[in-house]
Amino acid sequence: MAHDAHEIKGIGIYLKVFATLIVLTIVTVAVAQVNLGRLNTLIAMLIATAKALVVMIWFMHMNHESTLNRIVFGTAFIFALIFYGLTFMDVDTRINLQNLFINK
Amino acid sequence: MSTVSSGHTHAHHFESSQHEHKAGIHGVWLFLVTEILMFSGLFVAYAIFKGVYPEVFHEGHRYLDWRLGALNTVILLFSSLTMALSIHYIRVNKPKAAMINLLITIACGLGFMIVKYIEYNAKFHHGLYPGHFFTAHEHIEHKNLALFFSLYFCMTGLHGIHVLTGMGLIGWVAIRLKKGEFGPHHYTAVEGVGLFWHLVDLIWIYLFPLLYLVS
Amino acid sequence: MAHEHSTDYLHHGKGLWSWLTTLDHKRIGLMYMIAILTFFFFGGIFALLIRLELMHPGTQFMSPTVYNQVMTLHGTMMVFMVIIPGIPAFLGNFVLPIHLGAKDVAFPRLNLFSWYIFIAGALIAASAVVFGGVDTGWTFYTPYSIQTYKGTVFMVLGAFVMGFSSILTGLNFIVTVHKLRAPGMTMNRVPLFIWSIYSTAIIQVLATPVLAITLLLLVMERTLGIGFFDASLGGDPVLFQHFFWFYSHPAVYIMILPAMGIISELVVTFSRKVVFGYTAIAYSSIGIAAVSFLVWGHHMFVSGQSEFAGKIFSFITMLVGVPTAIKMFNWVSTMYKGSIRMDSPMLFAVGFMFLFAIGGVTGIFLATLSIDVHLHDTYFVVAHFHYVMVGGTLMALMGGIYYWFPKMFGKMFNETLARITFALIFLGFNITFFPQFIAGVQGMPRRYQDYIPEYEWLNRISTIGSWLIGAGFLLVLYVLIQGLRKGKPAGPNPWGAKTLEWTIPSPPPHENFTTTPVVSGGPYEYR
Repeated sequence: MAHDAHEIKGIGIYLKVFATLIVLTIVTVAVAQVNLGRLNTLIAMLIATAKALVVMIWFMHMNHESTLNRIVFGTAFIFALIFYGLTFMDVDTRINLQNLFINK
Repeated sequence: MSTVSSGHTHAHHFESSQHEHKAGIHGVWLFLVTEILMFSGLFVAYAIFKGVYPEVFHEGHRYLDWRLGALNTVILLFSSLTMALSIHYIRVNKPKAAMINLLITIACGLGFMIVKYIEYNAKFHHGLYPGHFFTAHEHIEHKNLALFFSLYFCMTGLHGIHVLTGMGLIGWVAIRLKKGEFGPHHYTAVEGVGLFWHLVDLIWIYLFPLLYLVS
Repeated sequence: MAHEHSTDYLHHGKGLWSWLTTLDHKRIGLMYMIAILTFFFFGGIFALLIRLELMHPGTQFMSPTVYNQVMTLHGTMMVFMVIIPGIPAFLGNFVLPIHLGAKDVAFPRLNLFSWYIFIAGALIAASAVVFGGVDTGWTFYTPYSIQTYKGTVFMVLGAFVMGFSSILTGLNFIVTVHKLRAPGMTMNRVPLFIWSIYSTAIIQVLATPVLAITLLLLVMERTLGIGFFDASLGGDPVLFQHFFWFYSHPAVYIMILPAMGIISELVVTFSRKVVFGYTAIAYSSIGIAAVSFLVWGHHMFVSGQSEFAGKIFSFITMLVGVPTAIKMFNWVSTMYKGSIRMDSPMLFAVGFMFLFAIGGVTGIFLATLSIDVHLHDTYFVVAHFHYVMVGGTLMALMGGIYYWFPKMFGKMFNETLARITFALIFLGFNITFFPQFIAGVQGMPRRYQDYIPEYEWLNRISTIGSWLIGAGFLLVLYVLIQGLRKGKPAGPNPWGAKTLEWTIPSPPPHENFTTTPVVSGGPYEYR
């Protein structure tokens, strides 16, 4: 069967990708040890997203994937964000939110 | 009805095996979409409850050992590497190297589950069970700590089920590889399983900081 | 018909086993038909029982406890086992690959597997009756669903399993549409039915996984007490409604979009005219699918959701009216100056437009925040969604069944009787549900077994109407069986339609096309 427009390169790229992921893991653990308040979660999420992108682009071969499949995969994140966004919109704007949650 | 496998022929409703390959991989991507949206429910629950009870999450994460979480992160990242390598070796027609990498991937999955088992056991030992079974009420600071552990067990549990499923699938393609069903131009199933395995890794990449590193 | 180059799909293998192991999308479609019609029969019986109980105030023959269970069974069966799979899994399976000029769907094994999952899920759901019953209504709202009968768990698990069938069918259809179109069949040339099934499939793939996790969490809530949806454990019951409606509102469009696709086909064929505004109808399907994910909060205006969220959701909900109205206008414009033939499928199409317009416009009433506060949980809502689900989806399904029946079995049914079934269903439907609008505006709450005597006359009319609908559907069954046994040969194209399925013999050969068709123009080239 097939195919694949992209030519086969060596395994070097995979090793580099793995090294990058390990470095990013170390960074995220290191940053978590420092208390930066709210920034901590933000930074952790940014690093996680960077790692996720690296996995998607090189391990999952997004760089050679068809536009259609890129759109398909991207759609998942867009709709997950819609799910979160509109739910958050409600929870965030409820009056006396603290009182709604008993046993606080 | 012709078959997909050994003869490298394609099913009757496709024009060519390449056509079939593309359709198969497209189906896998769509399947990954459904996986992400299924997990999104748990992530939304996490985000909403973290917004309402930040202090509960802070207390909860202190019961989790980030070193074990980090170890599991490294294990999964490494397994993603070996998975990618096995596909590479199939494409350059080195089935033996591919096989070794598939087996390492399965071993990593097993390692991940063992670490998970150790972690779960430690939680259970302290009475940190999910929901009703939560018994550690005496020495906790916040009343709703059980909610954090419900989330923890739901998220890591569903993820763990995916790890086990992935291991099963990799085992399945390893058996098919052994039978010589894959070659440089014929590896749709391995690529599909690989994508699934990377997705399992992807979800863990987010679970690790959210559960173990929240402050 | 019988002796073509290859045998037709009905005779391509013999015996029950050849059906249960078939990979042919046409046979799988018919297997869905049998399952869905069976569930529809039971769901319909429950509906008639409900109406009979409500004919007079007070208890007739069902205690409130039994009534709640029968109402729940009616709701869950009709939603999860009839209307959601109804058009996509049954007619979609049969028609979609042929419409595209393909020999089968992309993954035939997965397609058969989906049918088995559907049946398994239905059986699990039905087992709820044995394990104590369910009385939550089809929405399984927490906290009640956490506390009530054990049967709830089985019903919820059943819906969970059937959800996977829906996901896999949607996935299969999307890949089929993307990858298996015949040469020359560009996306701008596929029939409008495909566009609607395609949009539906997108919703199925994007929304149903959220239902899966929601129902799973509900089961965990009952078995482990995880507390996400339980306020006494720090959770939030309203969060359940967010989760549930993130799926279930788009699911409403899983139910109606395929119906719109059938109407597009019927209107064009029986008006003998090129469709007016192909692009508008096609893209409005996608538009409806997209907007459907942004409006779920309109089910929660009085559920403790924030006022701000209510206003936003109310506003966005109004937007759904735009693509829907676009479709309506285009259908009417297609009929304008066409050579309209009022055969039975077209009767159902016109009936659809009439009833769906009422259902849609009352939807706009309910989307208006201030009005909904008064009408919420009254019979107005019941009437509204029955106008959409029955007046819309089921009317279209009936039209579709009559339209494709000759293609499926190669035989014609009795046209006169078919028109009588339309008259019975259409009249019966309006007699049943229009009074419920009035009862709702007057404040009659839904879901109760009893009501105050002031509403009796409306309920009595409604119950009498339900008998007409029941008679109508029984007659449909007779018409179909009689057509199957004694119908005259239909020939390849009894309606003079232009899409690809009418270019092949009836019933179609096993592989649909002996030679792959090459498409050189739009789907509806009259003149």
